[in-house]
Amino acid sequence: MVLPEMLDVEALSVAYGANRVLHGVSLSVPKGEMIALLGSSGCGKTTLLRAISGFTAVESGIIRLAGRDVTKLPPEKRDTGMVFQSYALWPHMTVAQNIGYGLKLRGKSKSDIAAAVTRLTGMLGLAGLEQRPVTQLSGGQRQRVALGRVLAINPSLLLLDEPLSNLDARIRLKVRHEIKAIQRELGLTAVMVTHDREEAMVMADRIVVMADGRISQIGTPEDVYLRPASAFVARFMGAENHLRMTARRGDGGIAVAAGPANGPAMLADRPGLAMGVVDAFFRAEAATLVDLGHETRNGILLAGRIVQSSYPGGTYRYAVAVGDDQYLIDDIVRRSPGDAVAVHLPDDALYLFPPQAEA
Amino acid sequence: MTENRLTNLLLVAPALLLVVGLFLYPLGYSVAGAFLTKDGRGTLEGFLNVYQLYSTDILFTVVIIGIATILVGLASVAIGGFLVLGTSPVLVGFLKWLYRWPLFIPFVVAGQCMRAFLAKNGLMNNTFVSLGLIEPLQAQSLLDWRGVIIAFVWKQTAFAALLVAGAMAALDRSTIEAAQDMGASRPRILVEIIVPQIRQTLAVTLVLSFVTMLSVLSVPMMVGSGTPTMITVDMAFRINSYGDYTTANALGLVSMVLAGSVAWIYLRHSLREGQPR
Repeated sequence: MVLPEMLDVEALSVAYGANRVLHGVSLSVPKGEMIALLGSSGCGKTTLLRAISGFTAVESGIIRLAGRDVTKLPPEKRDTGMVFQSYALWPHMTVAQNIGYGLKLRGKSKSDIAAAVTRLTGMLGLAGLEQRPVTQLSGGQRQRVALGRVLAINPSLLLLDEPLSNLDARIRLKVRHEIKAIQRELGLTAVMVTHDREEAMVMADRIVVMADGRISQIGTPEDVYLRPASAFVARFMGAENHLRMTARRGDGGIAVAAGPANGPAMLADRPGLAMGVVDAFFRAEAATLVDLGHETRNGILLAGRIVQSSYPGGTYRYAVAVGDDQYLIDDIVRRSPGDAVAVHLPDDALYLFPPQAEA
Repeated sequence: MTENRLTNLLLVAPALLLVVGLFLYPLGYSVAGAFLTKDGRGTLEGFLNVYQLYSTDILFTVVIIGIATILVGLASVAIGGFLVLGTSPVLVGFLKWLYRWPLFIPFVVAGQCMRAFLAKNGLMNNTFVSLGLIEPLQAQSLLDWRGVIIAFVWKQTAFAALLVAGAMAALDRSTIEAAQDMGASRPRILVEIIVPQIRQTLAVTLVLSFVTMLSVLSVPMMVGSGTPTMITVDMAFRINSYGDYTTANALGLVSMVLAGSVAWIYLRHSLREGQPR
């Protein structure tokens, strides 16, 4: 017998009036997996999460939870638990009352509720704060109460709507690991919405990159990061530098024609890529700066001049003008604005795609 | 510095004069009048009359307005709850449009409407008879204390619902969704999540409703019948029938104490609102 996926979304479309925001999205999440819906504002990731939780009506498609069709069910009958972006704690209740409310709704005895609250506050580092009003908690503590409130009812599916976006940067780093550890320990199936790439990479088993109401790519963090399926995914995953070039297949690879700023080069073949005009994308940290005149058989060299430099920590960040374009390059060697340099783009740092209309 | 003070005084003077001239002076005059006879001698006769003749009416007033206030609270919470939690956009839109109408109808017109509606051969009984719900002989007039309560609730609920629904709409919607997500039914969300969060607005609304209803003369006069009746009717009676301003003023002072006791809650709340939490 084949066990059904814990969450199965099939050809889901959602529209707000005449404006369709999800276009036939399909997605499966096995039990115990955590996925991150990643995308920029307005891509439909929150709408997808709200459709799964039942807060947004579905135009067409099916949502199954543990094999059960829940598409038409209201949120209270879906057995999902949502951690809201604003935490949505009830300000008139204490920590214990917030965490225990779901159990109270389920008719649990006071002693059972108290035991569950004690267990969860202990697990979440909130011990001793049970009787404190939630309005007197810090952001990180509120976030944990919101998580504890959901964990108390042990839902089939944990939904997290940008759970860390209201925390300051230092606490966010800590809490993301805590949430991941709890999710793993309890074997929870979870769907998280985030626009933070690093957060998605650290927390999720798989990442679902979304754009314009469609899924652009689903894969493990390594897959999505190292093997982006489209120019959009490459850019979203940090390969923001863009170079347009002319290429043809030959000599067992891709021959790049010499351009205004680059010499001819040979790259490894990318099966399926149409030749002619090609867009290449690369990350700031994947390129290096070398002196003019440097030669290499691995990748492309671009002649340029440093126009700006800064030190964000670890490496120097340079803005390098190459012809009419400007690229951001990270390098460990200290250089000065005005220096003539060559940008070395190793073959495996280049993601090649057919030209984009907007590129 | 002196010039600044003078400017400030000039700025505040018009408002101050209005308050003193239109509020404090008449109030002080009425309060003093409760302790003075027609020819200006000091007396407690007015209060003696109040005690001997109108104790029952005072109690009646407090009970009637107390019940009406509770019903206004329940109705406004129900309307606000439906507007926030309702799932049918058509019904929610209709109720939103409908519930405000009594706001624009004066108490005197509301009283007249209730006379036509609640009388023995009024619209309500006629409708019940035509629907076969009651026999014509069973029809009874509600033009008594029940009619007063119904008229008050009908008129005042619109005002209360306006404030309560506004407070509910201003709540962080996700706190409601979080409860729904936990599995709470809509009635439980209303009682356990929404009302506790708007309780201060609700309290203020009920205080204002209490004070408003306490001052209405037309409704108990038109809808109520016989005795006991409400303080406002007694005051009008003392003045119109006997020219007895002393007793009328004493009744007014009692009214003010009643209003003041609930207004104290309102002021306490306002002060707390102004303090940092």
